[in-house]
Amino acid sequence: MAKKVEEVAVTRHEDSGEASRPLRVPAVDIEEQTDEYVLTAEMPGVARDGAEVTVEEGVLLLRGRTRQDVDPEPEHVEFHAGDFERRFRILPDIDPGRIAASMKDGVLTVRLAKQEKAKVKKITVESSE
Amino acid sequence: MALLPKRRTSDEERGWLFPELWSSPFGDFWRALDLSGWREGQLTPTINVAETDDAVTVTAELPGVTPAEIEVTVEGDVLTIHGEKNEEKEEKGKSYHRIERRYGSFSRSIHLPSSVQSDKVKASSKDGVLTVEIPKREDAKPKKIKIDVK
Repeated sequence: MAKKVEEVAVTRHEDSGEASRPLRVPAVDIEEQTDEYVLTAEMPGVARDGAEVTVEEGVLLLRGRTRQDVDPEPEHVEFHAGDFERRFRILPDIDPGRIAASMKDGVLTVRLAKQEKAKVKKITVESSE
Repeated sequence: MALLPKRRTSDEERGWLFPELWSSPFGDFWRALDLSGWREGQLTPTINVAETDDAVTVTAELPGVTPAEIEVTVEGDVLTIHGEKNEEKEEKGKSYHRIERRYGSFSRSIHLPSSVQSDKVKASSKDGVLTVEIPKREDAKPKKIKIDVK
């Protein structure tokens, strides 16, 4: 089965002026259902107003901003409270006008509805007699 | 309690005359921390540990885990964070294109230093990050002596 949502190279935003904050790549699950794709991305520490989802020229951009006020500086560090970013290319069977996103417990859920034509249509074969 | 990490020997126990240069009053805490905590078939949440004059704060990343699914316990001087990370099931003819997230039970145990009040642990969870705060004992807090400049 061909992948309908594929990843585009993840790039750092050097021009954002925040080069000191590490950029993290969120772990992502993508599942396909009959009429939509559901993408979930793990972004711990990102609140609802810190999440950003945009579609531009067929590229879905997921961004999550963590709170800046990380205090105090940890002495034992296993994770860095940086921002999250990841891009995916979306193929034509996704309707860019029907993408919905929600944030809960540090997980961003994006629902991408399929174009009407991408759904399998059942055509009744009528008898000619 | 075979699953729990063994406390590493301190400089004193090793009989060393000079402790490490960077030893702080709480220095032994960092050596005593269990940094692995790994068990087969279980997820190990990543943690950060920060220390202020008043408290030791442990933060753990638990995306997709609701506060009700997290259990924080203290037994002796061992703090344990554990629970179950469940996948939201939507059974209706789905197939996966990408699976990177991991699900299942998670557990992490760390030794607490003797400088904290392990009976006064406070835990809260927000946006998939668990914060456990353990206040220090009064006598373990650094004392400030103000010197009048004449």
